[in-house]
This record gives sequence, structure tokens and C-alpha cells, in this order.
Amino acid sequence: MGLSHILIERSGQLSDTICKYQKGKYIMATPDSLPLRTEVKFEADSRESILENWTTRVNELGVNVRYNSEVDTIEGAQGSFQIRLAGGETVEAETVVIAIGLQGNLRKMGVPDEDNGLTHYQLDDPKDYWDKDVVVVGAGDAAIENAVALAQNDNRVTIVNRKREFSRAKPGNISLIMSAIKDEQIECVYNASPVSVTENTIALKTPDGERILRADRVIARIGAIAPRKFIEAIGGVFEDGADFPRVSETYESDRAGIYYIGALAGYPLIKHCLNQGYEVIQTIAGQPVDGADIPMLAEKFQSIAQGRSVHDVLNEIRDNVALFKGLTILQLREFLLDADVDVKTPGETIIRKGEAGDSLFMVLKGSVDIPIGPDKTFTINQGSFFGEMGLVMGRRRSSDALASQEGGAQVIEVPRTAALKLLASSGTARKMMNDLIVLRKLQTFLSPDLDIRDLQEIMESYEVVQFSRGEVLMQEGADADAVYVIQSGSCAITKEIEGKDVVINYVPAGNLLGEMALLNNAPRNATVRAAIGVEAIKIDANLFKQLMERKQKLRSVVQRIAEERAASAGARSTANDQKSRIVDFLMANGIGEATNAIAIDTKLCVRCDYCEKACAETHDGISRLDREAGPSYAQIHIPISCRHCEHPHCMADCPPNALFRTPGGAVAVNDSCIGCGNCARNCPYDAITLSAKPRKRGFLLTWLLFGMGDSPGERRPAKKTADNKEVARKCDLCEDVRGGPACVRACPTGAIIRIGPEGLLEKIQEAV
Amino acid sequence: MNLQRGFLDNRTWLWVAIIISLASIAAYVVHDPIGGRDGSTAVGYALGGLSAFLVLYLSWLGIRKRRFRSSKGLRRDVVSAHVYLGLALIFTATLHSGFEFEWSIHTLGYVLLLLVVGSGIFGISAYASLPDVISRNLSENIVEKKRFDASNLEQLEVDIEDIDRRLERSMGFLPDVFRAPVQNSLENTRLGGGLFSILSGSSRRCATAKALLDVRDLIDRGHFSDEERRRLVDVVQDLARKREVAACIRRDGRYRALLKIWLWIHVPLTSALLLTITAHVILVFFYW
Repeated sequence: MGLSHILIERSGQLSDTICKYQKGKYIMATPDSLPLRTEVKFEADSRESILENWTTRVNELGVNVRYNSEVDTIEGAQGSFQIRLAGGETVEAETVVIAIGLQGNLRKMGVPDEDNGLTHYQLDDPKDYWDKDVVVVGAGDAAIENAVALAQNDNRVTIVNRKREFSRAKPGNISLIMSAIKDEQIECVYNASPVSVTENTIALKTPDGERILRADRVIARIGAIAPRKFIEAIGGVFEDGADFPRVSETYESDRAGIYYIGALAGYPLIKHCLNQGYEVIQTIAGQPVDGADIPMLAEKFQSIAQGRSVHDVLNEIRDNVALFKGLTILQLREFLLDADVDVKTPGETIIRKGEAGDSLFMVLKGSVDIPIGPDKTFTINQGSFFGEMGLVMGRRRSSDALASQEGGAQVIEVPRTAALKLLASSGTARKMMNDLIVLRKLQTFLSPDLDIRDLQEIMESYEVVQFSRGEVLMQEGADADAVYVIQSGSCAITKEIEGKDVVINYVPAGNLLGEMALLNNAPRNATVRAAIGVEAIKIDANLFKQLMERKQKLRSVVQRIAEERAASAGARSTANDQKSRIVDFLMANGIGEATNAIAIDTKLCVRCDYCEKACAETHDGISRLDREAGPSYAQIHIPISCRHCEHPHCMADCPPNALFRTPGGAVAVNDSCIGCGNCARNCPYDAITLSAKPRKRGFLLTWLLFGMGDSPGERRPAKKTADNKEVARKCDLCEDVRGGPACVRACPTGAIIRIGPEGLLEKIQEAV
Repeated sequence: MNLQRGFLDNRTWLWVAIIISLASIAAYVVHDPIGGRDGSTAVGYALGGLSAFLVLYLSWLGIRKRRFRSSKGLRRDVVSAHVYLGLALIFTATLHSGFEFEWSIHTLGYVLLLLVVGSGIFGISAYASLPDVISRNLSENIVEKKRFDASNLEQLEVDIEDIDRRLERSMGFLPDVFRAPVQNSLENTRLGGGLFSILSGSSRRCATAKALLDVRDLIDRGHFSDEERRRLVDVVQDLARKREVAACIRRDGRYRALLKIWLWIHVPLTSALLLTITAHVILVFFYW
């Protein structure tokens, strides 16, 4: 563009942060959907090739770089800034773009003699160390990745964690470090913080007193923060509780003429940063362009825009949709990139009962009808949302949703990961979601006529509580002090019969628990335990009682429910000991969170492995099922294979988002899998393997005559090559095979079934 | 308890088989041609045709069960049909013969058929009873699973390896007299072997059992320090557990072998039967 410019770089090289990445690290170019607009190419690749590419391009373009220069302050105003460098020199500029990221401001340990050379704040190449004592300080992703890489290179590694556990890191890395600690590859010192370093030791303060570790090297990876002092000195403003300075929609800071982009503005992704740089320079040059995402948003909004600009639509969305209220327009843009906007004609079906969807829908305009009875419908109005059962509780859609007969509806469909991100990033959205879940639960349980005014006090006082597996939500015989709505997870209900705890029921997410005791004013008649990790909304019992007293009509509804439940509980309490032990076994092995697991009746299984063979034959020669392994009890065996969990652990940390749930309910992997193995490590049931495709099965003649393929009946282990990468392989419920799961069809004796926890427990109830 | 409908619970095929058998008997009894009842009467041809058809249909299972992509129903139901129709064959084929037996290829066919059905009956009883026996043998009473991804059998094998390591280490601390029996357990405990030793599943000559007896005997006869006694208690415990686990693995091997061994007779004899029936049919129609 021929603009007069200078690029001031503190270090002696460009892209310092990426230079400091571990050697050979594979760098992703997410978000995939976003086009790149800069002159400099950037695609997912190894650290080395990206750096080489950038250096070449920067040289070609003739960028004016001034290395080894640190900025002290910026004085003046837009049009004539004076940038004072550390050496005392001054650079004049009309506008300033600050793209320093956070890595230049690494957090230090803050201990005496820290700078004696023993401590590094990065790890260039784990191969530089071999047979050394290395102490890694920190518990985040970088610390874990470094520690594991060093341990793999035969170093004696100790990781120092300030806390009692690893919680800050990605789940994949947590399981990586936990298994390394368990296998004694890495030693971990918990609840410890460094107090001093010498030439070859580091002293730690631990709960058991001071501990001194030998160290040939200390690597401290304790994060990076925005250089607040510097930013505030040059006129940046941090809002309350914010980690990043405030910017406008054009990334301009509160001091006109100074722009922040990239990680400093809260966008740690490389592609975002590159695009923002381009956009800001265009703005400065007086040829402002829309963000790279704007054309994509325009396309998304086509059906609802009716000639309006993207910005108008964005504003309308933010004003109309309650969950988006707390977002800035920049955040909203990023968020909507993942969403779909749709116009539904009157009466059109949006979701179907029984489908396994996990996206969240928001009503932008019009309204949506949810039929809840023969002639009863529940209406979801403009600005509200639906589908939260699938998202939060991992349950199948509990009812249909149709666009309103009058006027239809405009809806925004937000996929699972994006919706979870929204809930995580916006406290307002989280609170709103919980409020609505409580309200809807009480409406469906008691009466659809209840409205937010009746429930005012309840809404203001409920709390979200967590229970880990086996923890008691309510104890038989105790006073009823609260009612729970199970948000996620599931519970087992037990009753003491002849001195033994007998499981009488199993309650999945989405249900109301503990209301019985309130209705008849009696103590709890059963114990409720979390079968897996449970998140529940706890509502104060007194408020509930007051509500009942105010509304006489509710009393009769509740009375009827109470009688129905008492009757069904009576039928179940004939349970015996064997049954409850089987249920305990199933719960202990995580069947509570399954939606479709394999159970093998060991009285029928003749160990022929036809299930495995069938699986392999229908899935590229790789069985996704290990029949013989896995736990068994009484006559039930749970082989190692995917259970298609309600909240799949595998999905938690998939960089390319390759794991998804099909409408049929299977958790499947698509072609974008990069084979990183996070899902396999995250799966508590070992149900995912990484492998390359084996060769095609040989035919007898071609093998005999030409040596083509493997010998019949034999499959050589697959070899991985550039084209045949190791990727995640798991059960997909044979959704593309006619007739359903091959394992079930192939069993000669009918020993194998695929079933969810409810079905399995029902079978056990009937059988025992 | 019964969680699932197994392959024997299919009533439909049971009834089809009963009807076929009863109809064959009725036809045989009612139809009394001149020259006696044999394969060359109208009923004889009908029964022979039916039997040949059944044999072909039943053999087809061997191919059909490997067609994993085909969506035609559950294999369990095909196996039910296989079992019940196979049993009906005893009636149709016997009545087809008219009880005329001689040293000929025709009688050979009949004998082969009986052997195939007989091995099948063994298979049915094995399939019906052994799965439960296997699970009971490898139940949580003996298997203490430490790893989720290991099978019960693998866990037991790992247990033996662990015990062996401990025994080997302990030899350094024990009086020399114990060296021979412990070494015997380490070197001579066999878990597999030839076909017959697997099928017998016997632990009568188990080296570890012998070692345990010897060690106990030596303990009774000798005097040892407290330290040595403590170590000897561990050794006895380890040997006892190893003996138990080894016996369990041998029994498991036996049951699994029994589940498969009948197919070694059933399948080759079926091939022989198909050939013999072909010859039988050709002889009957062309060289009568």
C-alpha cells in the first residue's frame, strides 16, 4: 500500500512467540471457516515451515523492521505520537498498532536469584535434555506438555503444582500428566511453590515443610498476562474483572489512534490476529473494510436481512435474544460464525421428539410451539431459547418443536461447542439458562400456567450444586430441606430393606427429585446418590411449600403425582439383593452416563468373537470392540466399546471438532480428525483407538498368484504413511450399515445387546 | 435370570421342526407300498428330497454367518433354525432310508449325516452349558481386575507373572533346601500343551501343586529363624495362589477347547456329507 511504517520488535527476530514453541510443534489454523485475508500465507503446518514461509514473505514485501527495540512510553495524540524507545530514541507516528501479545510478559516465579541462569521460561527443544534432572514449575498446558516431552526423552522430571490437582489445563493434557505420574515417569509435588533457586537446586515450600530438589534446569511455565501497567500508561482501559483492555469494533482503544490486536485484545488465535492486522491497517489508510467474517455473516443472514446491513442485523440479534445481551458486537460476530440462522414457515418442524440433538435454538422473531399434551402447547416467545435439555443434560429431544402456526419463526441454531463456550464466557447467559430450566421444570411438573411472577422467590434463591460419584444428595429418613432438578449426570435411588441398601430406581438428568417428601410433609423415604458426577439445581423446600399454599390448584396436581409415584415405588421395592448389586456394578462402571452401551449375557456368549469380526468387516478391518476386556459381574459383561455417553468425554477437547453426535444418537468421528489422540486419552472407557487403515483383505487367488493383499484370514497391522494417517476409530453404531449394529446381528446365540441404562435396568428388574 | 432370548428360545423353528418330524413319521406309517418302505417309493423320494434340501440349507449357515454386511435378520434366529431343523433331519433321513442298511455309499451318507447331527448335538449342549461354566470359573471370586482394559484371563496371566517374579526374588533369601521346589514351580508349571492335555484341563501333575506340597513338607521338618518363617509364609501363599490360578486357567482352556473342538468334526464331516450325498443322488438316478 506504500504506507510509511515501522515495525518495532523487542527481540532479535519476528514471530518470537512461535519461535519459542517446542520444535516440530504442529500449529493449527483455526477457525477453519474463517478466510485469511493477509498477504502472508498461513495454513496448518509445522512450526518450522510456518516460520520459514513468514520470514521469506516479510523480506519479499520489504517490511521496515527495527529489531531489539523496546518501547517505554507513547506520548502525544492521534496524528503525532512520540514513541520513546528504551535507548532514549523517539519514533514519530500518526497511529500506533499494538500487537505485542502476552508472551512478552511471562509470569515469573518471583524468588531470589531467579535470574542466575538455572531457570528458563520456555523449552525450545526437549531433545536438548537427556538424562538430566529437570524441574518444571506450573500446572497449565505448556507446563504439562513440556514435562511430558522431557520425561519421554529419559530425563528425571518433577512437576511442581501450586494446587492440589491439575484443573487449569485441557482435559487431554490432564489425563496425559496423570497417567505419566501414575506410571512414575514424572514425579509431582502438589501444593508446592518455589521459594529460592541456587546453581543446581530449587527449594520448594510444601505442606510438609521445605523441600530441596536437585535440578540441572528449572523450566517455569506459569502463564502470561497482559502487561497492564504499560497498557494503562498508554491510555488503555481494563473494565472490571477483564483480562484484556477494551477495544471498539475497529479494535481502537480508548485513546484515539492506538489500536490493540491479537492476544492483547483477547484473540489468541493466529488467524484472527493476522486478519485484525489487515483490517486495522485498512481502517488507518482510510479504506476501511469489513471484518473477514462479515461476508460470511451476510450469507448467513441472507434469509432474514431483507436488505439491511449485517451491522443492523447484528444489533437486532443482540437486542432481541436474551442470551446474547452480555456480549460485545465483536464477541457476537465470532459466536454467530458457528451458528445457523433459519426462517421456518408456519408449522414447520424444527426438532423432533426422540432425536439426539445437542444444539441450542434461539427464537429471533415469531414464536415456536412445543406440543406437550393432546391439545396443550407450550409457546416459546421471541428472544427465548429451546433445546437446552439436549445441550445441558445430554438427553434426547423430549418433544417436538414447531414454528408457530401464525407467522412462523426465525431461529438461530447454535452447535454444542459454541453454546457451551457462550455459557462459559457469559455469566449472564449461564444464569439465564438456569433460570429457564428451573422455570420450565416446575411448569412441566406442576402446571404450565405458572409464570415467572409466581416463582419469583424460587428463582432468586436456587443454587447450582455439584456432587461427585457416590455422594449423597438426600438421605433416607432425613428432613426434606430441598428439591433438586438434575442438570447433568444421573442418580441411583436406594432404600434400606432388612438392613441392606437396595437400589429401587435410577433417575437420569432432566428429572425433579425430592419433591415427594415435601408433598406429604414426611422425611425422605429413600436415599439418592450420584451415579456419576451430577450437577443439580437446589431449590429451598420452604419456598416450595409456600408456593403450594398460595396456589390451591397446585395442591391437587401434586397430590395426584404423589399417589402415582407411591404406587410405582411399591411395585419396585420387591427388589432383591442380587438385583441391587448388579445395579451397583453397572453404576460403578459408568453405565449411568451411557446412552447406548453393549451388554453381553455371559450365560449365552460362546466366546466366538463374531461380534468383533463383524465389527472389523464392516469398519475398514478394525474392530471398535474388544469383547474379552472390560468389567463383568454376575452374568453381565460390559466389553470395551463406545457407550455413546450423554456428555461425551471424548468431545471435550477435539481441536478440529471432528467428533459429533448424529441424529440417531451415535457419537461419531468425521474426516477432519487429525489423529491427536485427545479423545482416546479423554475416554474413561478406553473405547477409542488410533490406527491407520489396514491393507485391503486379500483374495485367495490374487494372493497365491501375485502376492497381493494379506493372506486370507489374516490382516497385517496397518502401517501409517503420509496418506494413511492414524486417526481416531470408534463405534458409530453402524449407522451406515443396513440392519443396524453388525455386532448384534452377527451373534450366533443372541448374547449381545445394545441398550441404554434405563432399558438395561428394566431388563434386570424383570429378569431377577 | 434370563436377560436375553437365546438361540434355543426361538419357539417358531422348534414348531417347524416338530411338524416336519411328525409329518415324516405320519407319511412313513400311512404309506405302505408293495415291495416295502424304502428310499425308492414316492414317500421315500419326498423324504430324501426334503433331507437333501435341509442339508444344503443348513450348510449354507457356514457362508451366511460370515456375511456381516447383509441385513437379513439376527444370526441368532438363523442358528435357531439350524439347530431345530438339524434335529428334524434325524427323522427325515432315517425314514428315507427305510432302515435298509448295507456296506454302500448310501449307508455311508446316512452314517456321516448321523455323525454331523451328533456332533451338532454335542455343540448345542456345549453352547447351552459352557458359557455359564466359563464365567463362573473366571468369576470375581478369583479374578481381581487391576486394569480396565485387560480380560479376566489376561489378568490371571499377569498375576502368575507377578507371583513368579516374587518367587524368584525370594529364592535369594530362603534356605537352600527350598531352591529346588520353587525352581520347579517356576520352570515346570505348564498352562497349555497338546490337544489332549488342553482338553483334559487337569491339574493333577501341576508342578506348582507339587512344589507347594514339598515346601510345606520342608517347613514341617526344619527349624527356621523368624525372618525366614515370615518369608516362607509369603512363599506358601504365593504358591497356593499360583496353584489355584493355574488350575483355573487350565479349566478355562478346556472349556474353550470344548466350545470349538466339535466344529472340527462338524464342519469337515459336513463337506464329506455333501460330497457323499452328491454321489448318492448321481448313483441313484443314473446307475439304478
